[in-house]
Amino acid sequence: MFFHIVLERNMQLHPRHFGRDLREKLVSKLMKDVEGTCSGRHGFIVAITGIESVGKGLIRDGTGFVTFPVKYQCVVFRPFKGEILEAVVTMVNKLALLHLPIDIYPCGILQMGFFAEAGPVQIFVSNHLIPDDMEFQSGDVPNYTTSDGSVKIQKESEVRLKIIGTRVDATEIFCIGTIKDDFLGVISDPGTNA
Amino acid sequence: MSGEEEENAAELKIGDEFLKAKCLMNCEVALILEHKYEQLQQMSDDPTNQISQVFEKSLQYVKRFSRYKNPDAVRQAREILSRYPLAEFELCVLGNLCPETVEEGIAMVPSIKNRGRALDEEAIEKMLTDLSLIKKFE
Amino acid sequence: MMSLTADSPVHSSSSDDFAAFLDAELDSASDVSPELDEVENGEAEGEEEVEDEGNDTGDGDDDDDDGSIDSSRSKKRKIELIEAAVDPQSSVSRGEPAETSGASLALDVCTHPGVMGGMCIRCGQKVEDESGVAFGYIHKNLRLADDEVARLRDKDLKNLLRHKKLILVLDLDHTLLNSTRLADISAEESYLKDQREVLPDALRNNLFKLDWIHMMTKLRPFVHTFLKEASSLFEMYIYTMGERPYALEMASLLDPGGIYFHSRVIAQSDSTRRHQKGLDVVLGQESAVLILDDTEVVWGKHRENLILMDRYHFFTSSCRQFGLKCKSLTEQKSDENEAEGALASVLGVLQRIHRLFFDPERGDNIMERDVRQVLKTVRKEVLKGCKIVFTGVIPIQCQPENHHYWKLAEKLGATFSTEVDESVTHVVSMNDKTEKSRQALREKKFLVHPRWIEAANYLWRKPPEENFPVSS
Repeated sequence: MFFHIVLERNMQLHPRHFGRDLREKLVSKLMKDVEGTCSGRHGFIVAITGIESVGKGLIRDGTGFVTFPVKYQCVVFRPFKGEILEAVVTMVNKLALLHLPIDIYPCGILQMGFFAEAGPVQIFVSNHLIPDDMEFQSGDVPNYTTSDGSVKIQKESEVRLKIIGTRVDATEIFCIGTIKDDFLGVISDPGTNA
Repeated sequence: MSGEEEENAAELKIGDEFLKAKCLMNCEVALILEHKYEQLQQMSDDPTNQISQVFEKSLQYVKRFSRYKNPDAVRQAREILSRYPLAEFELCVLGNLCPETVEEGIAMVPSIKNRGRALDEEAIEKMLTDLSLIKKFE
Repeated sequence: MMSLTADSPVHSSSSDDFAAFLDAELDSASDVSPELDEVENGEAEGEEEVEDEGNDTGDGDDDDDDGSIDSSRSKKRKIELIEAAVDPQSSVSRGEPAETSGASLALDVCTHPGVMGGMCIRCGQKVEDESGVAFGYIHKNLRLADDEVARLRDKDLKNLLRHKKLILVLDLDHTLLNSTRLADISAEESYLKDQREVLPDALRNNLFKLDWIHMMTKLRPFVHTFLKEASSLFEMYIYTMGERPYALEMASLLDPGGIYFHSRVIAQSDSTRRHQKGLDVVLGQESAVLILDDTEVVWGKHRENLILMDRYHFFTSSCRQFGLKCKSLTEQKSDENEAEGALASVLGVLQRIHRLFFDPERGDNIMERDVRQVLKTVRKEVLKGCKIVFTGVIPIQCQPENHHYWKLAEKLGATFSTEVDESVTHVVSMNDKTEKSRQALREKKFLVHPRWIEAANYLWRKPPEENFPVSS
């Protein structure tokens, strides 16, 4: 879920940057420092939308740097256990493959489950949590399909899933999800939605 | 309520801080991020330099999963949902997923049923119908 | 740290100025977009309502908990447990403090078949346990329990057999390609770097200079046809002793469309034992796996699955690394023959094994078939009908049937004799002066060097005997 919240951060700035554009400097440094980061408490900080206040500057002993407590509004994205959201079926192991062109990332559909993405958040749905009537099909475009062929999950499919576990580290949030429940599963597959 | 093991969005156990915070529907986030992206575009020739991968992925995501595209419809959706006794979180899940039936609505947001609120099935049905009407007139 | 205003009166006036300046700066413009303003305004009423609601129910929950004395708690827990046994989901979806213990007991029922990113892939619970096998090539933090691996293999086998496919594990270096460090390119082969434009197409299209890993790679002739044909019969894995970035780079050269290997690229760090490759990290039933590799020793436990490949040495450094004195293909400005090279002949073998495995005439249960048995049978056809006498090959103190060449020839279907009698077809010798060698020539038997047997092993047919003369 996305939230609009106010966070506070102590910004350090050297007096040589002080001038008429001090505020601009603080804001652009703040953006650089916090946008795209993530924490267990607030999830991903997606975008700063405004500055609430800048507190009085405090000189740090010895360094000459001045610390400003800055309160800012921002959009954060934080998945919760038990939350239902929509996601796109994606590739696997992307981080290991960053230098490769995007079209040769391996598909995220595996015999043991599939990977999906909700914005910056990675989600894995294991085959224990895929309805029993969906079978894995290998081949050029691996997929999960019902026996009558009416429902298919493949790369780029949109699915509605429920988060059952979340884990946050310094750079990413990873979730375990399920589509094995009423009203969960495929909402569109790229084959039919063209 | 702070322990992570107890977190359960189905019962609105998302921690006090988030329970009281403003939630945003995907379509609202899309408006905010697109606006910010345009601002950056005006300030520099290559805004992709200025935005993080998280920003880019989020923008792609909310554009793909927004039920309402124009600002009017977005405002209407929140207005309609705000008439009902919903928590921010519940309101946004409903606005994001647009369930079609009462049964689906309760499956998506189990807490609206569990908490013994003044929100009976009839009210839920009316709410979902009103929501679906916005879509039609968009 | 000290505050400008409180602790440093000398600067106070300037700091006040500064504060005023900041205030002015910050008030001058609002960053909040008009859309956001609207959103926020629209939200305000909703939020107040929510706060009331939230508090009401919150209190309700608390009352419940406070009111429940110990006995009723344990009773509650018991009920939870019974529910859990019937339907683990129902208790998981609750989560009041009193019920948490019930929920966690119910979750304990989950055997945690696998762990990804520190969470169970079935119940989502945090699991710190490091047991099971790591499958880092599927996901950097994935571990699977042994019985889950068995379950997945069984599922995989059914799925494969339904699609009439088997599994093929492919080594990279010397099997599908040859790589050299850029620094090791000799003067004689520097034309590969410097005169790229004038190289023949067949060479240029299969030669890659990979500056970011400081390597040059040449794909083996026929490899594209090989992969295309093999992919219709097998689900293919790459398994290399190279490191992961190298493995992925090679996979992208071999499979630019990303259709053959998907995530099935296994590198050195994925093996469970150092200096060994193992099918324990392959999610396929061993009875359905064939392996192509030029190195036998790394497959300690799985030699029955292995088809040994003749090494592809394109670059000079590769020859030197294996102590070969001959000129490399680059120095000869030559290459392996596309139509008759190792990959072409092994493709024929793979097709034959596949055909025999799925032979509709076979009466047995397909799930119980074993590709290793089929491999054995096909291998035995290679020197079928050849009756061999060894002379000057096996040291006198050695049990003949334990000798490398004897065992190899036996695997290839040859039979043996100690005397050069009527039925003998080949005399295998290192020296044409021995009694039996001379007898072979007299009686018009083939007299061949032992390398003839090795060649048969690579070629999967009887090699032309005249290419393996015996000198003194």
